[in-house]
Amino acid sequence: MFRARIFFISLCFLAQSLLVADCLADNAAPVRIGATVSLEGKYLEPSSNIQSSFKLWEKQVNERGGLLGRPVELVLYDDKSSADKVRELYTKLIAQDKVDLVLSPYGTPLTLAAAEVTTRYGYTMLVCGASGDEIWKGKFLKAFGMYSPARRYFIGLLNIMAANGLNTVAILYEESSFTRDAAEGAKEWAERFGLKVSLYRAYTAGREDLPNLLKEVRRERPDGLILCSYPDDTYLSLDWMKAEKYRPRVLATTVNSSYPYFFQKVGSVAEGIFGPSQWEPDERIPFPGTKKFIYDYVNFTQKIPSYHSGSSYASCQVLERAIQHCQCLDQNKLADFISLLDSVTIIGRFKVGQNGIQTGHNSMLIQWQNGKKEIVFPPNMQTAPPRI
Amino acid sequence: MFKAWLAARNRIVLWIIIPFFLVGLTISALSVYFWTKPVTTFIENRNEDELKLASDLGIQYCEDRLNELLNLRLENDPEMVSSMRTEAIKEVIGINKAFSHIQMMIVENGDTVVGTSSPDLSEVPVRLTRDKAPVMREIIGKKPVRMHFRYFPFWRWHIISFIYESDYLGPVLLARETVYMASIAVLLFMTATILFLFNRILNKPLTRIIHAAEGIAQGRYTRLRMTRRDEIGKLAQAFDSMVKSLEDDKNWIHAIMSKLKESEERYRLLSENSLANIVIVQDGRFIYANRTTINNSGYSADELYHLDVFSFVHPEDHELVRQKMFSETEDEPLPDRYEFRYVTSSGDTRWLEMLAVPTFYRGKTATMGHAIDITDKKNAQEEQKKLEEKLQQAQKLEAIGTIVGAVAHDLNNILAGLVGYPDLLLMQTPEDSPHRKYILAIQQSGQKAAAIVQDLLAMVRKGVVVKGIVNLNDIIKQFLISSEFEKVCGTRENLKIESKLDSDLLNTSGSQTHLFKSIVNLVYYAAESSGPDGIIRIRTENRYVDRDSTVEDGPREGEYVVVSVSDGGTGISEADLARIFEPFYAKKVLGRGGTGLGMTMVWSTVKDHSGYAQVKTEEGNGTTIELYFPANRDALPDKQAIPSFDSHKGTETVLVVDDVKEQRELAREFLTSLGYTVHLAASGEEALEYFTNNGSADLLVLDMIMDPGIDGLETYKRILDLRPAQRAIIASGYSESDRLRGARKLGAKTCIIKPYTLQKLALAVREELNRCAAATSQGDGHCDAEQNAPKGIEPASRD
Repeated sequence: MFRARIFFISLCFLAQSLLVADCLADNAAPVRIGATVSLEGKYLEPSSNIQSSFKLWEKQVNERGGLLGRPVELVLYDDKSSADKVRELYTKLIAQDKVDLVLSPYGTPLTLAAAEVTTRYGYTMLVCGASGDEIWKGKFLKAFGMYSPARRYFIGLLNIMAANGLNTVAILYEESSFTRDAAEGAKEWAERFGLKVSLYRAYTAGREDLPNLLKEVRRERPDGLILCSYPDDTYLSLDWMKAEKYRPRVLATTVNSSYPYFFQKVGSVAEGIFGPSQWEPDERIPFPGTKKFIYDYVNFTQKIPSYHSGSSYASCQVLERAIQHCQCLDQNKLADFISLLDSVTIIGRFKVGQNGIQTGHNSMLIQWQNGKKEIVFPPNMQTAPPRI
Repeated sequence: MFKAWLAARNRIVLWIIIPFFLVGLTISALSVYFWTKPVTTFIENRNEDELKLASDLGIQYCEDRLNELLNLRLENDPEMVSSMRTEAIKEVIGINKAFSHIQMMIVENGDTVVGTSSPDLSEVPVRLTRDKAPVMREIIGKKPVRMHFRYFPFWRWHIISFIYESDYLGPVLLARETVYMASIAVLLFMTATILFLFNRILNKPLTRIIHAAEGIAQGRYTRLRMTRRDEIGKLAQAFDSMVKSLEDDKNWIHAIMSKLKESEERYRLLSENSLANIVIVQDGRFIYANRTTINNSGYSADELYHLDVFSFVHPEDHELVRQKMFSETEDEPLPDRYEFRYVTSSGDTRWLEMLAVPTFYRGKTATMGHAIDITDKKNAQEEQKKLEEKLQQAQKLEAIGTIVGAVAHDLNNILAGLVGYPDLLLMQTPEDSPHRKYILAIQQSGQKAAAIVQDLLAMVRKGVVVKGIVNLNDIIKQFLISSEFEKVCGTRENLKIESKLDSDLLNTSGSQTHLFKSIVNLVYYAAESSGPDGIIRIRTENRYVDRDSTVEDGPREGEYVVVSVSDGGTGISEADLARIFEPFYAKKVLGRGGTGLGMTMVWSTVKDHSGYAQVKTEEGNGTTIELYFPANRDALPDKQAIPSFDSHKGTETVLVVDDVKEQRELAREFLTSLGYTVHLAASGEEALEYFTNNGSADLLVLDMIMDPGIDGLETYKRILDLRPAQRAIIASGYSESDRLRGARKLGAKTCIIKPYTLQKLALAVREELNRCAAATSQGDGHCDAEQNAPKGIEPASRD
């Protein structure tokens, strides 16, 4: 009996050693993490913030000694805001560059493209710049979202509108997965809150379509207008409204309305604009590491971080935590760990549900007031009451 | 209560308490009002804040539940949603526990109450909107409430917080009422305290003082003798001093008053009962006037004392009074006695004889006057003066009349021959005799002389005025072609007479002769007075005087025919004006020609004709003399042709009674020549003897004045005793009206004036005999002279 016990214990040690040996086989070489960033095209702005966060994390994690005793090395390619390019580059990253890990590009279309590749190669990918529902339909089992889903972006805004006696809302959206999801969610919650959706229009080419759609909105005279678009189209719409001297009582836009430099960029027309945000660089937000991150980011980039910055940094945090826990770079182990993780990052709770959709983190609503970005929803995170 | 109020309304304490109370109440009310206002506002605001807080809290609870659902991604889970809903309802309604005065209600979809802190309430407030609304007033459960709501869209809820208005300001209202009541209570208490203290400290001693003061008024000089050292004590001491002083003064005053009273009584006796006017004048005003002065002045005492002295004095005597009443200096003596006129309130002018002395009155010089009303005396003097003047004039005329009367009688007798005998001579002288004209001249001279005698008699009113209906225009026209006119024109070279005669001039009753003479005298006077142009204007007019003239001897009311003679001479002075009708005044004083009796005669004629003479003159502007004669609307008599002597002849027996032989002889000659049988009697006695001796006569020609012996009237009386039906005519140079009237009454209705012409004698005799014959034939023994008197000859009358 005694002998069997000894044999069994020895066998375990052997297995463990093999495993450790296996894990430690590569400790001398850097841990290479690959991703694409959009250094040009429609996703330039948000993606550049993501790139900054990646690089900050790279620096910090190396200052901490790297991962698994190995320095971390980011391998970043410019996807030019093109989904095809993303496919090409992620294939290169995985197949040729043999990166150990990957992170997502910005934007749901590019993320879908990247996920196709990573799923084919069995790579785990933290989605740090997309919230479209398409991603979480079960096709990409090892893709885990950082963002609260787009459908939930405007719950707060519509609640505020209904609670303040407004009656109608118009919704314009780019025919794209993220913006479509955001619009659909807005429509659903508008009706749920008793608001009438007086206009619900999609567009494909913002430069050509938006002016006419805005004219239609003006004719309808809704109480509020929700514009689900990427930055370029948002800027285009704001320019039109400024020129036409038309502005609905409530105006909300996606993506760039939450940029820190949005007001400086568009001017006083930003005043009163609402926008969904995954996170805000506000030191009052009590998530651990938030304050340090803001400080480090500003020092690193000389810019104020956006929620894209925060969420991408948070995705690095999750990845680091996973690697540290698993003590290896095995994609399956990492995926398993992440799928069960219920933690807090600099942008709040991280918990994913079925198919990798973020369930622990909720978006917030900001509004530009007196040239300053204020959190107006949820009430427990308000920095200022909303102004209608 | 009201009576008590009336009794108390004059109390000082009342007028302290009432303002105090009112002011206190006002201040309290204002204070409470101004205090409650901010408190009320504060409470209102606080309640509103609480309402908003409650509803916001309710919303927050709901938001938290929604957040939970969203966080849990269970917003679509019915069970979870229901659970959260229930939880939210419980939490919202539970707010009532924290704010016990605030009720909570949740209304879903605007019409369903899903939760309420008051189970009785199921009524949904009407005004629920999705907008954010302020706190509003609403009715819930039939009670007014203040309400606030918020809308929670997720469950379509209105989170309502409300408070009943009765609870809203209840504490404040209660506090305010409490303060009001407390204020009133405090005020009442303080009032009572003040009243008590006032009564003890002030009222009682004041009452004593008041009683003591009242006692003084009733003559009781009671001392208070208070020993207090406070203000009341000092007041009492001062009061006692005052009482002592008053008592002393009273005694002293009493003594003085007695003397004053006695003095005043004497003064009143002297002054007010005096029949003289006693006044004191100072600074040109009456400062005292006794009763007699007031009564005499016609003013009331008040009016007199406000009157300026010189408005009391007659304007013409102002200067006199000013000199005599007011001295320039204190030492200047005033004349002691003088007379002046004053004007009463009714405008009457009265005289005063004033005795004035300077005096002092109330520190200033004054004049004390003692005057007697001598108006009656003055009037009497004036009257006496006028009477004396009239008497003088009457005496003058009387004297003249006596002289004239005596002279006239003899002259008439003498002239009888000159007038009568030429008639006889003319009867016997052929028409172509050269002596005829001399005889006529003698007769004319005699007639003129007789006329002058008649003038004299008329002047002295002793002449027999033979009157008839005459017209002044005729007389003036007669004058303008007469020898008298030629004579007047001869008095100066450029004399021119302008006549303006009213063609409708009424007649008058008068003596043609005397009126003619008057015109002559007036024109003569005017000629002597006329101006350089030598124009004399004669006018006649009818004039009605509608009221008695105020001028002395002015025309009375009535109809008059007026003749006026005007000259453009120097006029008559006022002094001469009053005397121009005096005998000889015009000749002697004014240097006029003539006998000096012309104007006297005019005046006498006017008076004989019941007329008036008015002289209008202005020195330097000529004179107009107007003669007023009463108008007579009878027609002028037809001009009778003097019948020839043949018609005057008769065979009756006539007794001529005259004491003048020449008259008797003349009469006999006249009558015998006419066929009468004439007997003569030289006196009344002789006539009586004649009849006693069975003499008879158909007619007596009776002289009125027969000296010595009985006169014509007495003679006729006695004859009538013998022969009651005896006829008679009077032949007289003048007659005294009484005697003549007496004779007329007896039956001698006709009178012929001596010296008479044969014609007049014959006419009178014949007509009387014919009248009496007619009366006899009718069976009337006596003739009625007024009815049957021959025309042209009327009985003399002095009426």
